[in-house]
Amino acid sequence: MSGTGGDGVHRPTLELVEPPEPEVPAGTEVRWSVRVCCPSGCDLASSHLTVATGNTDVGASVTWEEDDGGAALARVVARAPTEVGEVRWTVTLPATVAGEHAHEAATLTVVTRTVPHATSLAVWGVPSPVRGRPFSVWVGVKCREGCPLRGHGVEVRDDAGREVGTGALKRATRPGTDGLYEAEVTLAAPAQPGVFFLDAHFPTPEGEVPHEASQGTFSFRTLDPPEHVVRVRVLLAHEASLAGVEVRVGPYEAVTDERGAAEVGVASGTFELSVRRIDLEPVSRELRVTGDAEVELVASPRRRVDADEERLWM
Amino acid sequence: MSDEARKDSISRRDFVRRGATVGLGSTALASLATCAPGEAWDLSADVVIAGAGTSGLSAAIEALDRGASVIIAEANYDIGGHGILSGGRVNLGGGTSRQRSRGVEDSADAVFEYWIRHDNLQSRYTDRDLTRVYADLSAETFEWMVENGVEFMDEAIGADRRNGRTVQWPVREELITSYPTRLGSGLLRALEKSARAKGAQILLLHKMTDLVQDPDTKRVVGMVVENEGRTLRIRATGGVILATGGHTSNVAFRRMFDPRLTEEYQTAGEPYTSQNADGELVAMKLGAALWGTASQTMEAGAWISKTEHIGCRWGYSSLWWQPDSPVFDKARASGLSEVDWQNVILVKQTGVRFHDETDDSHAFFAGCMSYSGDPNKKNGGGPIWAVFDADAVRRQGWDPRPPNVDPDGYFYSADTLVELAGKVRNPYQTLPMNGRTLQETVARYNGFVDRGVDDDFGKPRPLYKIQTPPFYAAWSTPILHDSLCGLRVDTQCRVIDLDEQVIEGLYCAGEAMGGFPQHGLGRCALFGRVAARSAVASASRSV
Repeated sequence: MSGTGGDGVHRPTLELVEPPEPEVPAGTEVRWSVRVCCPSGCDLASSHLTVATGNTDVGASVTWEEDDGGAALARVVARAPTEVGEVRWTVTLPATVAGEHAHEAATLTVVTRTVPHATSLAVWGVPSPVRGRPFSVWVGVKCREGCPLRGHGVEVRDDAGREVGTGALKRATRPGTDGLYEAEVTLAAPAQPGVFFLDAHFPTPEGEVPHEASQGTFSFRTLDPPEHVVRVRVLLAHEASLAGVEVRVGPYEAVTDERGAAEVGVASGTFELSVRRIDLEPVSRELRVTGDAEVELVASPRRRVDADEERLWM
Repeated sequence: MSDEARKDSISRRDFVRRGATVGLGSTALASLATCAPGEAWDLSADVVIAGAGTSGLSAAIEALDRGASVIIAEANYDIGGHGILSGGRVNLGGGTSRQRSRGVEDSADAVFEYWIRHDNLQSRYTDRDLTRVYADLSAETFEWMVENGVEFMDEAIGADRRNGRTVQWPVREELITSYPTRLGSGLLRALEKSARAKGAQILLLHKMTDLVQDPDTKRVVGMVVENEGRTLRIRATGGVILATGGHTSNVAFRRMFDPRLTEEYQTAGEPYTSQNADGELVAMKLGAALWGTASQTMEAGAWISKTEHIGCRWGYSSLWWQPDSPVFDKARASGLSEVDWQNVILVKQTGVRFHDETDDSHAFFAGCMSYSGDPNKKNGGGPIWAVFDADAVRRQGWDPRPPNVDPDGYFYSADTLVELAGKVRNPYQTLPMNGRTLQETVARYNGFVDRGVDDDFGKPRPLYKIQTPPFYAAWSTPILHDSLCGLRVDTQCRVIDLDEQVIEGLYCAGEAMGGFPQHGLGRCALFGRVAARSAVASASRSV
């Protein structure tokens, strides 16, 4: 192939050396690299490249580098359309004069596909509700591209697909997260005892940028209504804070205050009473509850051993 | 002491009396006699040792005490090997002063009987000839350590009351890790001081790459070492002692014993020191046999361990890398410690649970190493990730940030489980973790928490849901430790070949030696001394 026409005009070439991802989220930045060569060796670096979809210049950013062979390498960054579908970008090196030689225009088509933004969700703060009573959970949704999702709705559905609760994502993201929008959803606990599963949904929202729906399953256990109060006092055989010790009476839970006290509302029955904190040896005992009760439990520091110490071979 | 051991126990005085000092006791920068055709020696000593760990330093002191000259070639930038990072556990009994002070009656025969029991996996496969040597020299080696400056805690612990720990080396600048359980530093630094005081020449950053054989007699007469691009040849008139520390860092080597032990399993002691099978490989080139290989795969003991610290690459047991370590730039993170396994689930690289997280038996390890579903990597189980949530972090009191965790491949956080799965990238992760799979795994597990029963793997009363963002994935792949088999040696620690013949001039001790699979430092020191006695005796015969 000749790089120079009979009229002495040079014919540069454009070669896609680093293609864009085949699928990119709609409305996000897309990157690719084009090698720009003049067969006669003219330096075309810093030429004016344009990038267009259809007849519209998309205002791409182009930075020039030299590749390993010394050729001009244009690194292109363009923003994808917000519509979903195939995108054909036309990269054009306009006719130019470089090194005192006229150069023909050259074009290159770059193809990619835009897709909706992926979302994902989490459900937390799920209590063990008393059967038949309302309770709340938190549903958080995140767009992988970091879009603000404030105000969009979330739904909770039962296993038949019926909507059993809704909420709207709050304006601010959840503290401690990197862009998780949260909504409180109030639900009604089933009247019967048992473990139940529900699905939280983030339906495809209306908006300029398309988003995928997302879904997540969560579970909860319904409890019989508390009839009695068990007052638990945790005593420590050593100097340590008394607060923050988990107290469980069967499925009923509470946490001790700074005096080591916790009140747990429980139904009648026989349960395992246990206390637990990372720095304490777990303690438990059986507790038969027929009325209000007061219980003291003594906890000792968790035995910290050199792991090798427990590995006394032979 | 058995007759055989007594016969071999040549004292320095015996040596002098026999007039054997002519060729002994001096190392030399040599333009020395050539061995392999046309090649000169760069250095020479009576006893040349590969490795300055417990075995090598013990061998050096023993040889020096017997009037021999000693050169140690150590691949690392400092001495110590695995021992200096260890818990300092020394199993030596048979009537030591330590035992006597604690009122413990013991004897060499009792030690022997204990270590050949058929009803215990760790003693079932021992070589009974080597066990006899261990039993006979056990008490003596303990006293020898004390004489060489090793301080012990006042204890005689363990079921056999032969165990005890050394006292951590007091010079902070000479520690590799300052965590206060790294007591082996007390043993290694004491032995180093003693060896140097007695005249050992320790060549750091000198990695043994080969052995030199006399072309006619096939006797091992020296070794080749590499030092910062230079190749040196060191002559050994008495013998070469391989004290290189075992093989568990060498993936190809360890997989001879268990094909499951693919590259994702890290080794305790790294990144300070590796067990690369250097000694085994050079000896096997000369036809050396391996020995006691059943011990390497017995489903007992600590050749493989559950991680004690998660979210870092090397989370072995009590070896807890601290930021003040001189190799912390390589270790990169300390890990999140004191894991309550109720707070996490463990998943394979694909995001599926596989076992009760609270278990640490070999059934757990078998689960870890079970097929991960990658048709292109059928062996090994792939990475194991501990997955937990913000509530678990609060309960544990963790700070999940560097330097506690290593976000460069060994720790991830995200706002949702799907996002978390998509972030997991690691050199050993051969399949992507599927977000949907991880989400389903956690939803199922959370249901078990509600019911109080783990239908899948029987985790005792699962307590905590994984639900509150952010979520975390922390490296929790089991880590390897002991080399429990190695080169075949006779009772004088002479290396034996596949024809059951002695390879003259070649000795081995410590974790590179097979036949006596004991955890800890006692056997390393003891057999290092035996090897040195033999090498010195050989040197005396050769002059």
